[in-house]
Amino acid sequence: MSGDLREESSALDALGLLAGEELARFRRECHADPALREMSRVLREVTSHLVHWAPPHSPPEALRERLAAHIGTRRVSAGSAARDPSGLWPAA
Amino acid sequence: MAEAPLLLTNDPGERDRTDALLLGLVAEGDREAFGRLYDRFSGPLYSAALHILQDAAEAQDIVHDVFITLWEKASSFERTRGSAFSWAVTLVRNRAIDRIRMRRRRAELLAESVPEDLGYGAEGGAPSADDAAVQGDNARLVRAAIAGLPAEQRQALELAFFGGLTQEEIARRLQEPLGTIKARIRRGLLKLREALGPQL
Repeated sequence: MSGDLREESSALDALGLLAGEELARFRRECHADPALREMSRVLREVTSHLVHWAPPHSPPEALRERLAAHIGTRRVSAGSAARDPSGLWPAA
Repeated sequence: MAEAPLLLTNDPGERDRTDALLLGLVAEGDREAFGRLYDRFSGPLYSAALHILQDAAEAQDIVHDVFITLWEKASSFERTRGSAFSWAVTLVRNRAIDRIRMRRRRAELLAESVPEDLGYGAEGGAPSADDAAVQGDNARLVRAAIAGLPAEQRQALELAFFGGLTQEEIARRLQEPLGTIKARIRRGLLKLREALGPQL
C-alpha cells in the first residue's frame, strides 16, 4: 500500500467511511503493520476532536438526574457541575 | 475517590491521562469519578449528537445510553487503542448516525435529510455559558484549526462527520469524483493532525 493510500484508508476509516471488503482489507493490514495501526489511532483521535465543531450546547440537568437514577444513587447535586464537579454522585 | 492527579489542565497528555484514570475508577464503580467524566465529556458529546440529529430528545437519549455504556463497560477500555474521549465520541457518533440513516431509510428522503448549510461557519457557534473550561479551550483550538482548512476540505469532513453520508453519497452530493472526495478527506484530516499535533 502506498503512503498516500495508507493515509487515505486511515482517514476514511477514522470517519467510519470504509465498509465491506475495503474495511476488511484495512483491518488485516492494520493487524500486520504497527505503523499503520498508529496512523489509524492518531487519525481517530483527530476525528474525535471534530465534535468541537458543533455549536456548543449544554445537556439539560434532567439528563444528569436520569443517569444518577440509573446508576443507583439517591443523592444528586444539581446545578454546580461545571464549577465544581466533585461530589456529584458520591458513593451511596 | 482517590485524591488528584485529577487536574483541570490544557495539557493534552495530562488531560487524556486524567480521563483514563477517571474511567479506571468508573470501572471500579466510583460514582464521583463518573460524575467528573460526565462533566468533562457531556457538553461536546451532547452538542455533537444534537447537531447530527437536530432533535434534543434523541440527542439526550443517545448521550444517556453512551454514559450508561461507559459506566457498564469501563473495564473494557484499552488506552493503547485510543483515548477515553475518542471512545466516547465514537460511541455517540455511531449511534447518532445509525439513527439518521434509519430515518432516511424510513422516509426515503436521503437528499432532503442533510441540511444544505449545517449552520456554522469557520468560527463555530456561540459558546454555552457553562462549557467546561478545559473542553472550552480545546474546542477553541479545534475550531481555529478547522477554520484554517480550505472550504472544500471542511465541506467533505462536515458531511462525513455530522451528515453521516457514505463516501459515494458525499461525492454525489458535491458532484465530484469519488477520488476527489477521498483526497479532500485525507488532506483535511492530515492538516488537522498537523494543527492539533500537541493535542494528540
